[in-house]
Amino acid sequence: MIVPKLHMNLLRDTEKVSSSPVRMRVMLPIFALLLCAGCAIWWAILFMQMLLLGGQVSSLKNDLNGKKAAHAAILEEMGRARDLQAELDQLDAYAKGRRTWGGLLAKLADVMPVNVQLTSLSMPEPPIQNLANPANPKLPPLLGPTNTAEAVSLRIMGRTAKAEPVTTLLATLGKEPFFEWLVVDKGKVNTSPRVHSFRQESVLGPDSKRLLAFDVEFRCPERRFEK
Amino acid sequence: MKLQLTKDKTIDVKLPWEKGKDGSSSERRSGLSDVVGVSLFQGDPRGCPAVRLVRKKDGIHIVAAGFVDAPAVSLPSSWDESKIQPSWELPSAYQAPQAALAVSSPDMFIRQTTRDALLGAAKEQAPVEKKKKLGVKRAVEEKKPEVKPVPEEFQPFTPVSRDGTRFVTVPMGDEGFILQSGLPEFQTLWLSRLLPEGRRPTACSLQTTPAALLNSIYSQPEFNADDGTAVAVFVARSAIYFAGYRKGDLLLFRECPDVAGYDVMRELVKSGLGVGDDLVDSILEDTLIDPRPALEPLVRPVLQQLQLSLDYLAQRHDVHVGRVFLMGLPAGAMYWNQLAQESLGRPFVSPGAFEGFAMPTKAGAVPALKASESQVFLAAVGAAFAAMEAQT
Repeated sequence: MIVPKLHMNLLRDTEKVSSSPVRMRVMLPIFALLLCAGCAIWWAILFMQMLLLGGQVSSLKNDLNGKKAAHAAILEEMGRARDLQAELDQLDAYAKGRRTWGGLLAKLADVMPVNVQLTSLSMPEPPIQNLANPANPKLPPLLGPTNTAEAVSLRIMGRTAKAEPVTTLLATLGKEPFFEWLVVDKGKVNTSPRVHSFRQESVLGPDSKRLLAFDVEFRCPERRFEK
Repeated sequence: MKLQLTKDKTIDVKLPWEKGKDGSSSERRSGLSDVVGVSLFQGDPRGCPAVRLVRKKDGIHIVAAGFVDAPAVSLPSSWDESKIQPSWELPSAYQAPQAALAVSSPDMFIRQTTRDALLGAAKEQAPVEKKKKLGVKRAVEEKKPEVKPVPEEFQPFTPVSRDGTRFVTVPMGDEGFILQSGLPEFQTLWLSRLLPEGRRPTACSLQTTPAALLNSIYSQPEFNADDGTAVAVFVARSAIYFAGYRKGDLLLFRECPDVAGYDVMRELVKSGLGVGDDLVDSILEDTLIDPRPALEPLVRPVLQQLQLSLDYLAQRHDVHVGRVFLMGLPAGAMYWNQLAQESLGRPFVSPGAFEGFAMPTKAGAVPALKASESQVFLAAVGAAFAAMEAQT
């Protein structure tokens, strides 16, 4: 088919309009305006949120500034409370670690044989603890003991005319009611009671008899500085 | 563009924007696939002839054809009247995306002219010989006539507004000649706004009715069978036009002088045979009454002018036409053929306006019409076909 060559169109290109109901020259500005309006609303919302958050931040800052003094006071009070509590705990520990000997001495008087004269009742100083730093002995020693337990012993020294009353005394001290104060341990290590000496004295007695001197040490329950 | 498929096989692919073998660039088609053509203000009491063409894989189909109600307001005849701008809508069957309007207006014009006449150039003056001096004879250098460059606004196919008129020109097959068609500017503006934006259809093409008629012949199979070489007689309501084509190029266009169109023919039959308006068409189609005595005063001069046109084509362009098409005549083609046979020794070819297109299978989409009755749709078909197929 031969193509027509005589299309004498009097319409200009600018006069040709679209038959589509969606007119881009109308819709594009509308979409652009809607987009701008959406962005403006979005930015307004963000701006309002930023203002609100800024207000909240400033109020929180003011609140914090107002509460700083009270907070410091509270912290100080809490520190004091901790210190006091520590002191109370320490006192409690001391109270727990307090060892009373009155009952032992009262009961010891009841069971003391007639022929036995006590020359000394003492509680020896506990052995010096090793304060060297366990991690590195070359470092300066620790300021104090790290354990909360302290070994306690009762050393009884006296004289007697015979050995039998002393044996009776030791047997009596190994029974009730002295379990509260004295430990009887017949093991091979750290035996209690330990007899340090039981010998005849060189000095004569009043009736010119030679006396026997004994030195016995009982191990006592550990003194614990704990609540 | 050549594409090498294999080592030995190369194919030529002709892209639309590549130049052809003759060096001329092949222009793109408009690319419209659905166009409704409407013939406006033709004066038909049934309404405006409208034809909807749709391009499909197997060719161009006519989807709907018929008469649609004319706009409520008539074509303005002055700037003041053009201020009344109606909005016109077509029935749903004709609501294609694009519309091509073929407009009949008493103020329209279409003429064959030359480029110089269009530019208003003065006729080339013959070279003035200088006064000869005695004893001295100088050879006069033959000067070639200066070819004035065509202003951009006068480029072919470009609408030009000048002196209250809008016109468009197309080159003709005869070199130097152009065909010019136009309308008053206010009518063009009024028509461009007739179909509202945003509703189907909107105008994509505005042509005068004669220009649309000239394009209508390109769809005819017989015209294409003759390789586009023919002479056509277009009978409009108020005028008769002759057009001569050579291989599709327009060589000749002229309006038959001193002869009006189909309306005058009807008046002649009415007055000559003394019949009413409603019987004219039936008399022209039937054989009971011979209307030739009434027709001859109109047809004979037409045939004489046609003979002149045929002689012009034969002698000037060495174009010997095989067929002469008679188009646009709603009734009486039979008698025109008899008179042509007597005068020219050859009958007319009067194809239907819808020939060359696939017809719809849906009943009622196109009214059942004879070939002659379909001629009222010729301008609408030509306008739509040109808008759809023409190179721009």
